[in-house]
Amino acid sequence: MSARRAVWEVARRELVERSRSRVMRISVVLLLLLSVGGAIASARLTSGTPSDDVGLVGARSAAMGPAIQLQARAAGRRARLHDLASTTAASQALRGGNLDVVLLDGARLLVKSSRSTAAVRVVQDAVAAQSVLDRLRGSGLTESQALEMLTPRPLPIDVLEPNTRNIDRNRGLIVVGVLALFMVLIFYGQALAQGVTEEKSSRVVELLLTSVTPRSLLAGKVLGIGVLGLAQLVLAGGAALLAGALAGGAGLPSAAPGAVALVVMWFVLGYAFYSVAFAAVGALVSRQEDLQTAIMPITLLMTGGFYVALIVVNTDPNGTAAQIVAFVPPLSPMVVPARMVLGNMNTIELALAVALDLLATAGMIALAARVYERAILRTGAPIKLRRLVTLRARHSELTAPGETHRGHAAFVDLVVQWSAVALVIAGVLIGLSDPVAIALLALGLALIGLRQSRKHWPRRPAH
Amino acid sequence: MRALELQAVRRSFGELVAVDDLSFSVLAGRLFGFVGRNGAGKTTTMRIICGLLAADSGSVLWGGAPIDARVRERIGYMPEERGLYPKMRVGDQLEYFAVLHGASHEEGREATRSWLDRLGLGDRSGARVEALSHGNQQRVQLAAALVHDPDVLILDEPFAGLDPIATDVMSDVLREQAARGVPVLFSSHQLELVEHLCESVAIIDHGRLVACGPVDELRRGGPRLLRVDLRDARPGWADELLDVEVAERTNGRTVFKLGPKADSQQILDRARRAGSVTHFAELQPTLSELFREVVSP
Repeated sequence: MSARRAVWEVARRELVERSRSRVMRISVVLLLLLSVGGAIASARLTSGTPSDDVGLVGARSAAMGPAIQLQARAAGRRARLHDLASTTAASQALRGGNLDVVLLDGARLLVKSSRSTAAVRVVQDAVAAQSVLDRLRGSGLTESQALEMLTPRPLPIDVLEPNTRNIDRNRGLIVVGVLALFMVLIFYGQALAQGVTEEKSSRVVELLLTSVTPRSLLAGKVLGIGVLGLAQLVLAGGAALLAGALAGGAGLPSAAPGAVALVVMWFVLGYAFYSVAFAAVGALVSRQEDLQTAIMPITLLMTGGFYVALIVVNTDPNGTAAQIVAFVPPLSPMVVPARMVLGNMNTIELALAVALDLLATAGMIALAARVYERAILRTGAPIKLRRLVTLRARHSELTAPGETHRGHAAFVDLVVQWSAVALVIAGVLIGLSDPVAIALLALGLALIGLRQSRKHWPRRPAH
Repeated sequence: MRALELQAVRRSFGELVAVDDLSFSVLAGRLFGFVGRNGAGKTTTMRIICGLLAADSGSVLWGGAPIDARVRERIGYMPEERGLYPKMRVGDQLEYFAVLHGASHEEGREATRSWLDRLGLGDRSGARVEALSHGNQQRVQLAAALVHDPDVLILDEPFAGLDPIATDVMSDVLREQAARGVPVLFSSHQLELVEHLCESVAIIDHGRLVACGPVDELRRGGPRLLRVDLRDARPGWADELLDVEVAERTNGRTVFKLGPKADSQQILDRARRAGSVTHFAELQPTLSELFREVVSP
């Protein structure tokens, strides 16, 4: 069987078996609920434009309606007008809390308790402005000339350190995004490690390896579980965006689609890096009981990345420390999305971070695959990592020389293919108006081009 | 006739030489028993054949050509430490193994159905493996080795822990596979069963081949044994016989192992003087006796 078909069949089993698992289904539903709930809450609870309910009693009050609307808008507020039949009705509405202020016959104001609310100021100013307007009109100006005199054009503002983003709301957004990324990475990484240990401890791996090379088995498992993780994240992110758009209220911050795309993209990159490490550690232990301790270093590293991202978010996203850790491959999956959304990280820096991450991932894959194929058939006492890495091939060679190269090439090929697709999707999601998106698209297309040209390279002869 | 051949296969783990210069061949269509004490190197040898371990030197050939990934895919293997996914359904699992060995999903499903029916597990296809009894798990394990219609069968202790009925089923299936033209190599400690089932055996000890060939030939070539049953024997009657060793002595019965210079008629004379002889016959050694003869204690 070709390495490609072997990888696919292994991945297929992971997809089918795991999508049947109750734990997996619960996690999907939970993350979906959390992201949709969070998006709705964010959209509804964030105060958008503050609004005032103004009651109008009598024809002269009603005539003030347009002026009140104008004044409210000028003050950065919104006025909802309610025509009322009588003062009694107005008093009732005020006491019931349905109105903020009532204008009686254009001449008096009625409030519940406080004289100095924003609503009162809006109505006062509107009435005053209306009387000025009336006089200006009386002096022969047209309505529009009069209005222009009353509302002079605002002065242009020069900003020394432009920050077009709404920091506070974006901060909440990215915390949720990075948290979801972190959780999904850990969840699927652990699932992979457990799957590897399960195959080893149940000895089923002996049966599998009679027909499949260790590298194909590893690649298939990484791929199958990764696709599930990606699907879960994309589903949750998409549902959150949709829910935010439909929820009304202030909606989600405009950076939301970009943030989702970044999180999805860095999930792919982070998963490629961490998953193989999880698999290698899973192959080192022979019993599920030993697994949690064994994967601790990886989960600690990821947790570290998550907390660094949180610190970046809460202190200075452009600080020196934040700028540096964004380029540290094990941490960048969590830190870069935060720096991109909140800080001033630009497209070139993003490309550099991605490149460094891919480089580190290639190294990690080479190391982890080596450990995995040497450890997966060894049972008994836990194996020392260093010994495995330095073992001479003669002692534990599982594949013929030619097969190793082919398996490896297929694996690298798949990683490249994956990254390319993720980049292109991320670019499209962000939207072509954004330079980041164009860079992502370009990078993705470049990878696809690279992959195509690789195919035409002559194969290295196998000895 | 095609054969599975081992040529001077050697494998060591550190200082320990697990398999030492091992050569034998299993002809297509033959049941071949592979026996040896625990730790003699049987499992290591089988793992080398299946490609799970690389030999330090020597080669494994099938039909005269070294075994590569394509041939390995056509091997049916039953590992000693049983290996199945505990939480996966029986039917899905067998289909998966068939597919990994190159079958299409339909072929895999079809073969799974027919093997489960054949092994009496037709109604357990949807059950998780961990829910099955030990014996049934072993049947599934056998099905996993057979579901891709293998060209070569390598079974490590297939009879371990089976009840007599399951043993019969296993024997029938192995005979059937051999009749189909498949070389069947299996290891076992149940030497009577091996003797009964196999045309040929290989006995290894400390990684070295100590006896190999058709069972009948080996038995004929083994030590000459003589059984003498005596009633009211005088104790010590068998002392001082020429070139004779007592292999077994139970009340009244003595089995002698005769050396080249031993004379059975002299023993008969001596026996008649010692008591009344009720049974006197030359014996062919059983495989067990042969085994005890050739392996180090």
